[in-house]
Amino acid sequence: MLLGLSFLAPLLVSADFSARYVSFKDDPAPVVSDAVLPAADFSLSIAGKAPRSKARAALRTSLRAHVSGNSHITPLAGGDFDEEYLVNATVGGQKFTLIVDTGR
Amino acid sequence: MSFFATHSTTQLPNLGLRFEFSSDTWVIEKGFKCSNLTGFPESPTECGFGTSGYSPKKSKTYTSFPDRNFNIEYGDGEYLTGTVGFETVSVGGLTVPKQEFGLVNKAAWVGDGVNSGLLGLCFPNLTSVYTGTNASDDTSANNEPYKPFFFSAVKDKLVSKPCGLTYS
Repeated sequence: MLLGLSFLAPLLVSADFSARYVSFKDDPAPVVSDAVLPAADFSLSIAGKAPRSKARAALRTSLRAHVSGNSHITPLAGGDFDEEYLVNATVGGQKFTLIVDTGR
Repeated sequence: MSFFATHSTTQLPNLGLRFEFSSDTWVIEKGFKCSNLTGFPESPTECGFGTSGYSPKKSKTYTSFPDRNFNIEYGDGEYLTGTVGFETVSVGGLTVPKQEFGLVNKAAWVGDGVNSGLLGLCFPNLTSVYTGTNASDDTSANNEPYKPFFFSAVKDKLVSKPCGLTYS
């Protein structure tokens, strides 16, 4: 199956509009561009999916095994095309999955 | 030593697509009202949260913060307002009692069907609690910064060597 490089365009546009930085109340209004990305000049085929790294999986397992004492280790899950990272948390004992916002 | 560990399964972060930085921990409150990004009322399911929300009535550790409001707007047009309280928050075995947080009762949110809020780990001067109860009166003049989750953990000496790490 052939896909144009423009398949990245929705991701780029999505990233632009899903930027979750804090906007303060007296900031000037953001400038929103209505520019349309041009069609791709080149295209390439998607050859396959990259397998998940066994080494990373082993590392994550190792990290989980070391949760003790003063070490607070928790794995995060990528969500929304890895545009965000999620973590399990409890608030007042109630369980939620929260977006982790580290400040980059 | 404290670690927040993550991995990435795609190269998107390397394309510079991560722009997040905020400090507030907030959760959606049960019974919240949802609207789209233009303010048009929608069904709560349209906001795409992963649960129906946090209920302060079911918690023995919740206390409210009177005469304050939570009011945050993100760069993509999502915005949230609500009340402010203190609660025990736990992540990865790290438990912070009496953490200030936002209880969102009005949301314009484009959710993923999984998350029910956000754990903000940036600096206090980016927090979004304001004195008063009317969100329309909020400006930087009545912004009242507070210690985010990890700052509270350090202040309460819950971590011996304050260090956060994410790897990808």
